[in-house]
Amino acid sequence: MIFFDLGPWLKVALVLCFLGSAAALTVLLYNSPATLLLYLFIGQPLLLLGLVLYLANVWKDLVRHKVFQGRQKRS
Amino acid sequence: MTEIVFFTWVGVGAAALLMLFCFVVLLFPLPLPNLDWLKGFLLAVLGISPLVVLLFGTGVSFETSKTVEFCTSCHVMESRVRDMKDPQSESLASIHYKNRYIREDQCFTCHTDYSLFGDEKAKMNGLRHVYANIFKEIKEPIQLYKPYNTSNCLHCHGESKKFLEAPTHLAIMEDLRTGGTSCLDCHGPAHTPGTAEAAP
Repeated sequence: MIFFDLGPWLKVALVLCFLGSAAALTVLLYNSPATLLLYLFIGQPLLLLGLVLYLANVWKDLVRHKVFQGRQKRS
Repeated sequence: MTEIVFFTWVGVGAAALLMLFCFVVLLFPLPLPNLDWLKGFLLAVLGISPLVVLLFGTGVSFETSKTVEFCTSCHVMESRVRDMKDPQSESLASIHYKNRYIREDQCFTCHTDYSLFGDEKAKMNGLRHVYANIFKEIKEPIQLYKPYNTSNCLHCHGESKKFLEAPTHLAIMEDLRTGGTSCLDCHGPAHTPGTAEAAP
């Protein structure tokens, strides 16, 4: 991969985002009491958690790593 | 309604794109060329699309849960909605429906208090109803949490000429405004689900 390795936490983030999006897709295409509950209480938390995990990975791998490397080169 | 259709399809597009991307990256993690635009694209897909899905998913699901069709999806509501849509029915709900006094989202409009957090309160109660419909047994006849709020009727009728000039209303105006007398005392019942069930 170009800027992130598929580490275990990123894999988890992707799986969570996949499941959360599936729940969102269901409620968007057919809103019923069951799909609404599924999305609000399962899909939404999964999607949020996936996003947080992904952003944490990006922060770790992309920003901190590259900024640190850049400062090393300049010094 | 057009906006809702647009927002729905934006949400559907973002969710489908995110699912496809997660699926491809997880199952086929092929090395990709190290291009700036590709990095930006991947970052955007995974960083922005969950936000779009969350925003549009929540907004659209709440908005579409205002519709009569959504209310009818709970079995316990079917007889009430059938009565409301019955042209022969003389219930208050039916009179409002057949004369198009309320053009859309009829259930939500009458059962939501007109206050700062009226919508939010109605949605929280609605969530409890959805939960009860799926996981609990609902006892008939269903009842409101509290007596029907007269100010909901007065929100539309309160300043109308017909209402203000009716001698009966003038005599009890203060009582009506404070909620001492309910509109339903004279104009009820709001729903006659039994009649609709008996009708062929």
